[in-house]
Amino acid sequence: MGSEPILELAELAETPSDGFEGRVQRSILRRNFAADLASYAWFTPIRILLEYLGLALSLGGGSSTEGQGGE
Amino acid sequence: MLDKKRTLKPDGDLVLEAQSAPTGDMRAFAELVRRYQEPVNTNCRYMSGSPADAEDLAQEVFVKAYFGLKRFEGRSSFETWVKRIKANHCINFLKKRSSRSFVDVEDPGVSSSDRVRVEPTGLKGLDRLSKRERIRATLDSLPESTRIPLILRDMDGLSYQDIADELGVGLSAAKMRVKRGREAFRARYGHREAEE
Repeated sequence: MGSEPILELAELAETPSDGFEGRVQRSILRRNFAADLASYAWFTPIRILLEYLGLALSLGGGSSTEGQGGE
Repeated sequence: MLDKKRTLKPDGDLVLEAQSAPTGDMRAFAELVRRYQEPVNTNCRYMSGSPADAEDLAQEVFVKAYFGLKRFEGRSSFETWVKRIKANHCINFLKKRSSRSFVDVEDPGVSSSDRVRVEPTGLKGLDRLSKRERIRATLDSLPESTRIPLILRDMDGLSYQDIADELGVGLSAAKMRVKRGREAFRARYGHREAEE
């Protein structure tokens, strides 16, 4: 007896309130936006750093070429 | 009705559409939400035992499903996959809730408070309720240790092995908990029916 399923449980149905689907969509969009923002927050400083490194290398490379050219 | 059936796309097709949809295009996923919002919400309601938390939990289940959809390989049906996400999410919620709701019963202020006094006959007044409400109240009166396995088995239809995995117990322990849940439900529900 105890191992037979409780069939009454299948009778239960709780419909979510109106606008549930919209709330799910908005929540997904918010998280997408937050993820984009987070990746942008990571990407921007790295990009700036790379720009500085590139600039430093080009300046350093330029001066050493000048030095070699002067010999 | 017939037209509606004819135009109803299988879940698998909708999943493929949702997986290949560009970011922001949620038409296919929205259809999946429409199909499963009721069973997911119902399960969240009874697993948490809290109507107030049910919709938030159901919402988070679908959000998790959306972001996990790229990794869904279709080895099981979408329905089964969502049920597992839901079970996992609700169990984690219950664990967090039980760790949060610690009450020191030695505190004289707490022990004398009416708010924490629990009536031993939690099903009092159940006789006046409809059958559905009696089922609901009986289920809510069960302790989590038996209610959760019972819901996972008889409402969700998860296998005993899946239940064991979700609860982090052995297979025989999962079977035993489901059996005890059924016995407890029948005892409480049958008792009320006999009284009527």
